[in-house]
Amino acid sequence: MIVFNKEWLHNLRIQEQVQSYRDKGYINNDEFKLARQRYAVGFYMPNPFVRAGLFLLTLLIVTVGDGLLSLMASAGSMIASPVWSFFLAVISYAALEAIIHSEQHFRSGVDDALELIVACQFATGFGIMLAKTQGYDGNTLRLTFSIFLFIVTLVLTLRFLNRLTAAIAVASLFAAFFFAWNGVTTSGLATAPFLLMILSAVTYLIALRIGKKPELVNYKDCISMIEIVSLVVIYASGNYYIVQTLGNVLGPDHDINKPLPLGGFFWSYTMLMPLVFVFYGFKRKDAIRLRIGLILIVAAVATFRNYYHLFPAEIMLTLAGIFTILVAWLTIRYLATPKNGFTYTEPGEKLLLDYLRVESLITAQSVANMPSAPKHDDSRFGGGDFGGGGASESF
Amino acid sequence: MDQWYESLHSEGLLSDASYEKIKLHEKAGLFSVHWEIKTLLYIGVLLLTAGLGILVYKNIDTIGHQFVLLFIALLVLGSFTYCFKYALPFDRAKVKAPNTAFDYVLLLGTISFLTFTAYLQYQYQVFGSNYGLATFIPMVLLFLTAYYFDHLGVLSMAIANLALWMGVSVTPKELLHNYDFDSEHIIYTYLLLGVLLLVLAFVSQKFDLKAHFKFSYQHYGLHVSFIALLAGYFHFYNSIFAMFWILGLAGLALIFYADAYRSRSFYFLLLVILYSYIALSSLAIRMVTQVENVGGLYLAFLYFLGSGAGLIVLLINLNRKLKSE
Repeated sequence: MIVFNKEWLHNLRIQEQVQSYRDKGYINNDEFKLARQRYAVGFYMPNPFVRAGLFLLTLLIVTVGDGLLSLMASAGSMIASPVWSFFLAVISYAALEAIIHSEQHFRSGVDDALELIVACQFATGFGIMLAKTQGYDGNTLRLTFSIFLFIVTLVLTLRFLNRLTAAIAVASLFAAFFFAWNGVTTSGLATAPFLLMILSAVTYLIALRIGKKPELVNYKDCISMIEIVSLVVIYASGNYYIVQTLGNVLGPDHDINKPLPLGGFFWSYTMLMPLVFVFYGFKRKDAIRLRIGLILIVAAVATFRNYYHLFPAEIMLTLAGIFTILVAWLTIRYLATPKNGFTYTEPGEKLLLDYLRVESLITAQSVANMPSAPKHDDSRFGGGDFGGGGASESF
Repeated sequence: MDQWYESLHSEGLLSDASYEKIKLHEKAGLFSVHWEIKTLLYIGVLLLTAGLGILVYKNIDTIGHQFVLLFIALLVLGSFTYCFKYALPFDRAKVKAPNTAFDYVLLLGTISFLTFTAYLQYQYQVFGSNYGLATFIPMVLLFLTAYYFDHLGVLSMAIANLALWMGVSVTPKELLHNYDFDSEHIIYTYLLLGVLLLVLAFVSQKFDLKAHFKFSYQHYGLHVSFIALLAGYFHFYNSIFAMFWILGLAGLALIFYADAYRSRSFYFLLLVILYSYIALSSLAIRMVTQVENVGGLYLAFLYFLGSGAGLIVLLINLNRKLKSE
């Protein structure tokens, strides 16, 4: 089912492992090279920058190529029909298969882009088809579309190991269940949060289980994506703000400010769930759960602030800053020597962030966004020491 | 996770010493929270400094702001005392931070210091109405801090302040949002800034003075110069001088293509190639629009198809070449 050479995929995993051993200093360079020779990989896998460039260029070429084809076909009425989209999708798919078979591309940017384009073109074609049908209500149409999207992205994921299509597949699966539930039950919207909670929790547990199966080892990245999406959906389906807003937007009476029934439950869920994720992340040493949990803490605080303004924003910022620094500081002190299987030392693996030095770029960005100054008057912060002012006369 | 090292060892690819080392570490099974902690520290510093900045700004007419200011002053003093105490001695080469917290303490001190000078200027007009000086002095101090303590983040802030002093703001977001390129004056300022940064990048490497700063200088320098040259071209689109801007862009691209090739930097290669492609395409579109029927549209499509494919081949070949050498 997988289009890529499985032996190379296997060797690639060994190479990555060996690379991390070398970066951590466990093995020397000769051993590294020897292992790489023994487990050679024939894929064309450029570095992240070339990959980004190839991705953009592929998007450009396909857009322009399809534009040219459409222009040539524009004499007839064909391009308005869904068949045209399907036709373009088939061409893209053929190109995708060809480039992988003849040039051995694997996550090179070209195949990433083409996989995405194929999914979009199929979805567009089906969307046009649905828009032209009559006699069905909106919910049924959305349900059909979600199922279609799920099938397309699932097939792409199974064949091309694409992480993004994996994420879309899970999301559209959840959407399909949501619309189906909405259609068959009268209490649809009120009970949908619970349905989604159970559904995403089950999906997460399944993903955890199949992630360990040796025969699915090639899908490991995709399964991680499923875990991430399910974790986010587990949280989102019980988040007070999301439940209230979605319920009111999709519901019969469009009253945005109507409080939720079972408010206490949803509030505890909103505030406690991220902590549960973080706790179990630490307990099981699961990086995905831990990081998603940390991010969701921010979401929980933001949700809370949306309803209750205990302090003005700047005091919240200051307090949150002090608190965050304190937590980090205490953790460093606590982990001065590794404890309970946790360490503070660098993992030694090089990340893309290191190459780009993203942090230093973000710093400049955030400084320029601080209270910016009016140009040349004596109001607050005159002179504009913080950027944004752009007082060209002073030059 | 499968443990490949067992099989690698039995195949004789790993020495016994390496094998024991890996086994020891794998057995310990340590989970590193290094990145999580670093991110927390960074977010904390940003939140705190942003909060304090707004706090002073909002309460500037009340008594309370004195306390906030005192707090900021103490932060600056404390941070810099810490940094001077623990910093490793200055060196022209890259100096490692003595510990992980160090970089963030310095960041906290520097940003708080900026808030403090801004306040002094507002409340007491320390620099009078001399706004050039009001941005010049923080800039110099930022550069000194960046060089003395070897901090890339502070260097980026210094570069942003340099741009401010020159009368433009250089951060990416500003570039994208205030596409205020119609004024000749701003275009020349941008160009000068870009070239200055590129010279600084060259100097860093040539005289081996914090050679690793070259990346930041060149990153900002290239973006600013290319955008200024493109803006100049479009500004003078209908005049004969348009040609010179394109020639300048071509020259710049050639120099930095060679430089990026030498230093094996895919990031800068990609940058040079994409900006040159934009310039080339604008020339092509200019020619194609001379054709006044639908044929022009076909030509444009064909141009993008051909050039896009050519560029892909170029990138793939470059990647292979640089990797094999």
